[in-house]
Amino acid sequence: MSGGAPTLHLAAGALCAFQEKGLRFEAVAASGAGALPGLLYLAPAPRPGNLTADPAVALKGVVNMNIHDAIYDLVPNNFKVFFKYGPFSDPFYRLSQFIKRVVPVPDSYGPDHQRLVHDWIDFVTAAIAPTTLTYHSPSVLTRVQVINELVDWDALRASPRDFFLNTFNMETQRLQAFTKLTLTTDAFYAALAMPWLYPPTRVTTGGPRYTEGASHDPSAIETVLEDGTPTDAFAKTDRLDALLVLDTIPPDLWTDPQSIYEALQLAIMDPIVTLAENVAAFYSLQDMVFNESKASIPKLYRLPFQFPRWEGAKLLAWSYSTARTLWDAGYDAAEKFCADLLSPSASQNQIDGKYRYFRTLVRDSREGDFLSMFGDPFKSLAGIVVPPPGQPSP
Amino acid sequence: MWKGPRIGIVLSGTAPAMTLMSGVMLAFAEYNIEFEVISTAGVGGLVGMLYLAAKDKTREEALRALPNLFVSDWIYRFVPINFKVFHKYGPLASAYYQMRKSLPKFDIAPGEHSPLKRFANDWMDLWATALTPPSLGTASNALMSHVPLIEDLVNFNALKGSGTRFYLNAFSLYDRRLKLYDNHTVTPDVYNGAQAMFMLFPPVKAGPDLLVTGASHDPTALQAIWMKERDLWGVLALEPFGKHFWRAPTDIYDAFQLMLMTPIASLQEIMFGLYGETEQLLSPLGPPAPVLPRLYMMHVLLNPDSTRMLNWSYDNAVTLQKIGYRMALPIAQVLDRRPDRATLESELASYRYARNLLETPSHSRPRQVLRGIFDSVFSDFGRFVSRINTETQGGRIIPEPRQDGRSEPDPGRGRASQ
Repeated sequence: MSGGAPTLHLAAGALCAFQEKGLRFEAVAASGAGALPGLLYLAPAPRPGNLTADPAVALKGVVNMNIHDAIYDLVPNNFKVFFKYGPFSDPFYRLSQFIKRVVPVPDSYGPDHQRLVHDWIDFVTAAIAPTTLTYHSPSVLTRVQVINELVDWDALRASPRDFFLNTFNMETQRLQAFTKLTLTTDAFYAALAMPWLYPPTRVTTGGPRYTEGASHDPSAIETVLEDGTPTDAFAKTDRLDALLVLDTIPPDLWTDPQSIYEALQLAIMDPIVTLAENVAAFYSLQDMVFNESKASIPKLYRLPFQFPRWEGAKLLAWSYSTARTLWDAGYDAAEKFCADLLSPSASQNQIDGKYRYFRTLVRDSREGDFLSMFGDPFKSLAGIVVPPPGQPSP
Repeated sequence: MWKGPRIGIVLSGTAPAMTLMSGVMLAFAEYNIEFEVISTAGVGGLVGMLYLAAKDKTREEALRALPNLFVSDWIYRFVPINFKVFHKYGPLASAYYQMRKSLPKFDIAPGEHSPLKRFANDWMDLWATALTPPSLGTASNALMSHVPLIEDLVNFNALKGSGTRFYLNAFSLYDRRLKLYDNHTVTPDVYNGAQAMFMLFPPVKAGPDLLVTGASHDPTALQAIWMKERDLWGVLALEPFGKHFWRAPTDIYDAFQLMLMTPIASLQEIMFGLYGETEQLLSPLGPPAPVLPRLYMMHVLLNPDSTRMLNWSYDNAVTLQKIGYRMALPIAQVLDRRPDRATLESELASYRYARNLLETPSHSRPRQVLRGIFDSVFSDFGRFVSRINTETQGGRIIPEPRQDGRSEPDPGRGRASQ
C-alpha cells in the first residue's frame, strides 16, 4: 500500500473487501498513509463497537477519521488527524475524548447529524488548544498517541502474516523496514515523520533519526522485497509468488487545484506519485523479463480504482464524503478483483491481461516515456504470456 | 561548433541552487564551449537560456549577474524569503513588478559586494512586495504570481536561432504527460509553466496545455536525452542533491522546503542512478540493445553546510557560483583542448557516474535501489536489454537483423561481469 493521503481510505476499503471475500495475503507492506489500514487489517485493537477486534469493522471505521462536510466546507483541515504543534494538543485531545464520553453523543458511526455533533466537539477542542509554534520549531504538528487506541501491538507480533513499514534512516541515508517484530508506537510515528509536518524521530534513545519512507519508496514494493533484515519473518517473503499494488490514481489527482490547501497537497503528492509509478513500472518490466521462462521473482499486479469523473478534484479533501468515495472505490475494486480471481472460468492469461502491472501500461503515457529509457518494451513484450510458478512457458 | 565527440549537459537542481549552475556554465563560457544539447528542468531552464540567448548581455554578463536576484544578507537574516523572485499572489503582481523596476536604485556590479547598497535596493523591493495587494484566500490556488521577469532576461528570438538544441520539460495537466519544449517552442508562458510547482505558482496555460513544473516528474532533465538525443556521445550533469535535503531541519521554513524537496531529490537520485548504470552496461552491447549517451557527473562539494542549497541570500549565491565554477573548470579545460573521442573518454573517466560517484557513501540510496529491488536487471543486464528490445510474434522471439557486424550481446553480461 503506497503513501499519500487518498491511500488511507482506498486501502481500507480494499482490505475490507479482501477480508470479507476471504482473500488472504502472506505479507502486507505499507508506506506512509498505507500503514494504518495495513495494521487494522492485521491487528485491530478491541474497541467499543468492535469488541471482537474484527478487521472488517475496524477498516470500515477509517472513514470516521475525516471531517463532517458541513464543518470541512468552512474549515478545510483535518483536526482529528493533524494536531497543532506544542504540548497542549495531547491534553486537549483527551479533553475532547472526555466530553464525548460524558455528553450523550453517539459514537461517530452514527447518523449524519450525530457525526456533526461529534466532529464539532473535536473542532472546538482543537481550535482552543494553544500552540507553541514559532519560526524555530522543527515542525508544524504534534503527535497525539492515537495509534495505541487502534492497534493491538501484541496481536501484530503474534500474527502469522508479515507486516513491513518503510522508513528512511537519516544516518545511513538508506530505506529501512520495520517488521511486525520491530514495529513499536515510536517506530510507527517515525515512519510517518514527513518533514515539516513532523520532526525527524528517534525510535530508541541515542539511535538514528528517521523520516517518512513514503518520500523515498512510496510504492512500498521495495519494502517488502528487500531490506536485509535477517529475521525469520522476513525470510518468508522470499517465497512470495506475487505482489498486488494499489493504484496511485494519478489521472484523477493531477488536476488544476481549486484552493491553496489542495495545491499544498498536490505539491506533496506530485513527485511521490511519479516516484511510485516509476519504481512499479520498472519492476513490472523486470517481472516480465525474468519470469518469462520460469517464475524467479514475485510477479507484480495492480489493483485499479475507478472514480466518477466529477470526483477527480476532490480526492485530496479530508471530508467525510471524500472518505466514503475513496473507501467505496477501494472496496468495489477489490471485490471485482476477488470475483475475477476466484471465478472458476478465469484463466491465468485473463487475470494477467487485466491486472498484471505491465499489461496495464501503455506506450503513450508518462510511464511509457520513462520505460523508453531502456528500449521499446511495449513492442517486444506485448501479448506475452507468463506461466504460473513452476510451470514452463507456453 | 566543435566537431569532436558530441556532448550535452543537463541542468535541473533547486531554485536557490541556480547560481551553482550559473557558476558551472560560467566556466564553460570562459572557454567558449558550445554544447550540442542543453536539456533542462525547472530553474535549470533559466540558466540554460542565459547561456544561449541572454537579453542585451553577453552570456558571461548574464550568468555573473544572477546573484543579483538574491536578497541582501542583512535583510535575509530577518526576512528569509526571496521576494525578488517570488512575487505575492494577486491580480496586481505584474503591475507592481513593473513599478518596482522603475524605482531609483543603486547600480551594483554583479561581483560587487556592497552590502549597504544592496540593503538599500532590496529594502525598496521588500516594501514594494509588502504593499502589493494580496488576494490570498482558500479560493486562491497558489502563494505566488508569475511576473514578466523571464522576458527581461532572455531573448526568445535568439534562442530560436541558437546552434545548440535546447530542451525544457514541463508537465501537462491535460495530457498527464511530460512535455519537452525546444528552442522553437519555449515561450515565456512555457517557461513560467515549467517553474510552476504546485502551491508556489498556479498552473500556466500555454497554447493547448495547462502546465506545471516538470521537475517533479523528471528532475534530472534526462528524458529529453533518452527520447530525442541518443546520438550524443556523452552528457554532463551536476551531482544529485539528495544528501543535502535528507537532514534535520533548522527551522520551520527550512522544514517546509525540505518537505517539498525530499521526494524530488529521491526521484532525482534514483533516475540518475538508473540512467547511469544503464548507459554503462549498454555501452559494450550491440544491437538490438539501444545506446545511451554516457553520463558524466560533476561532484558538488558543499559539506559541511548542506543548508546552503536552500538559502536565498546574496552571499550564499556568490559562494555557490564560485563552487560551481570550480567544479566545472577542469572539465571545461579538457573540452577546450578539443580532444578526440579516445582522449576525451580517458580524461573524463573519473567523472563517469556509474563507476565513481554512484559508488560513494553520498549515493547509498540509489545504490540500495539498484542492488536491491532491481538486482535481477542489473546483474543480468544483457538478458534484460536483449529481451525487451527483441520483438516477439505469437510468443516466439524474433531476433532483429544485425547490420553493423557487431557480435551478439552476451545474455549473461551484467554488473557481475563488469
